[in-house]
Amino acid sequence: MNLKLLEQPEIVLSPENIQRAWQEAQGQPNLRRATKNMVFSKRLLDKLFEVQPAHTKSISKNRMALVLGTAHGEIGATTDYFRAYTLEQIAKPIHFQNSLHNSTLGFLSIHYQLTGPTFAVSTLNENYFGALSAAKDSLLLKECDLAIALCIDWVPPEVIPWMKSSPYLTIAKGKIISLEETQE
Amino acid sequence: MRSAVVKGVESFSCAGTNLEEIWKAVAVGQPKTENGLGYFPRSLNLLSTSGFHKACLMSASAAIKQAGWSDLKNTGLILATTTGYLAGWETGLMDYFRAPTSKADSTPYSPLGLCLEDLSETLQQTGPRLLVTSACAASTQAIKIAVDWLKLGKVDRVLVGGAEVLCELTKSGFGTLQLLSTETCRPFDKTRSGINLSEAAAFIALEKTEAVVGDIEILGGALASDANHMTAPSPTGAGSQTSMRLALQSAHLSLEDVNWIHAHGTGSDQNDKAEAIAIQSLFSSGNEPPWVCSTKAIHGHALGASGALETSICIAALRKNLIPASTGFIEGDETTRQIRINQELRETSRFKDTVLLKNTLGFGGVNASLVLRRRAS
Repeated sequence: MNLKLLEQPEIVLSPENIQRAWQEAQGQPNLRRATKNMVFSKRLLDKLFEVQPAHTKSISKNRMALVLGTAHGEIGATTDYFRAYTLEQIAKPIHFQNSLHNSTLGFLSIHYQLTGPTFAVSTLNENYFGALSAAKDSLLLKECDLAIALCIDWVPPEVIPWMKSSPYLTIAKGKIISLEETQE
Repeated sequence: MRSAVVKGVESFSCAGTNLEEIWKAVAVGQPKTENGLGYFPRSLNLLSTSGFHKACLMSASAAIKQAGWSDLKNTGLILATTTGYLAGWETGLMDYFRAPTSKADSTPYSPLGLCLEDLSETLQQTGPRLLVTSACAASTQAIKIAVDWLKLGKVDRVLVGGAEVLCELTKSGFGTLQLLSTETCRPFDKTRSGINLSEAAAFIALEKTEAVVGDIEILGGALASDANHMTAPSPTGAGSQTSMRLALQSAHLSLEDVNWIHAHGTGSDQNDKAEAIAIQSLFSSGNEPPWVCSTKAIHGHALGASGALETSICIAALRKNLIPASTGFIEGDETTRQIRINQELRETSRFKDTVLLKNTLGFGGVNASLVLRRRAS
């Protein structure tokens, strides 16, 4: 019996879908303090779970790995933090908490109760490749039975003029990978 | 059997301009932070905006030299940080908010991944590379991933490390969470009053090879999530417990094999409580529980670089057959007194393998553990 990686089709949220996700999140109590990255990645993960292969539905949450690739991390929350810090002389805990590069990862693990291996990576143009590769490694090492690789980025308009290069401005895409036993 | 063997290691922090100096401070229990913060020594000349890159380059180059590697071709490179070049950009951003007409040309915004690209380019590295950014667990995760790359045969050599330069965001941000102490931190002590933030850069050159007597191996590691809170560990220590258990499993060792634990031990009320519960729950059934220590009273909490810095200290300790004392600890509280905190510099047997667990807990509920061994036979 051999093990083969089974990749599900990639899901990419369209700009309209991303916009709608943010609008729909307004007023939802559980997303009240969420950043745009968190909202977009939740929408993406909901869609990925919708098309999750039937044979993986019984996999326990502690056997699921989550790898988040992001070039800019929470640059929106970081900007919010410094705006309040500079103009109002107030450092806001929620902005700091949300400014962490892996805060979306933490948000997703809490929201979906994912207790397996989770980590955040950032490799400029290779973000998605890095996340996919790490997710596959986790499966091959049998640390999990299902791995989710996400690539999430959102840059606030006011930061764009500061950027010398920009691998991504807004992106939300991901893929579920699992293991399949084969006779080969 | 081939395993991940440490061929080179170097680190810089407020506690010293090289690993040997840092070890000396740890061995004598001499705290090196000041007013609750630990900056790189001035003699390293790392105060400029390019300090982050320089710190990475200096420690990485020293580790490469020790390993005897002539180049980094077909070599993995994994770097861990939470802020990268942010210290340079944040000043420009604050100036911009004060006077929106000012241009930011002098301090352009840099995505976090740029620091990895710069390091790779300077070192002329070819092969897989990755930047890990999972908060305070980042470099422990990075070392675990480096060991995985060797196990999976992706490469035969990996240069892995972490670096952190203190910036306004981290200093004021941790302040808002009321986690900082201006006194030297006292991990696991009943009077602990908070953490000391610090800077560090540490790199390890790992090679997949046959270990010989005296070699330090990194046998395995594991990650687990709390799924509980964004900035506090699970009060049950569940995720940390899982990562320690799975790390031992990945190293094909059992709880009884562990001689000592280098804990995350930040000196914050919640971290130390959760970690103590995790250790106590996991090791309670054994006859002789492992010694536990934290060295953060000496060098502070270097955030994303803490795992790499502290693993380098673990390597120094293993090479010397010693277990560091948990400086700052005098008496535990109801929870932390349940674990066996090491209060003196303690010798380990030269004639038996020594096994240690390195633990890290991070914001976002990320937990990571590594298993290191000094081969005696």
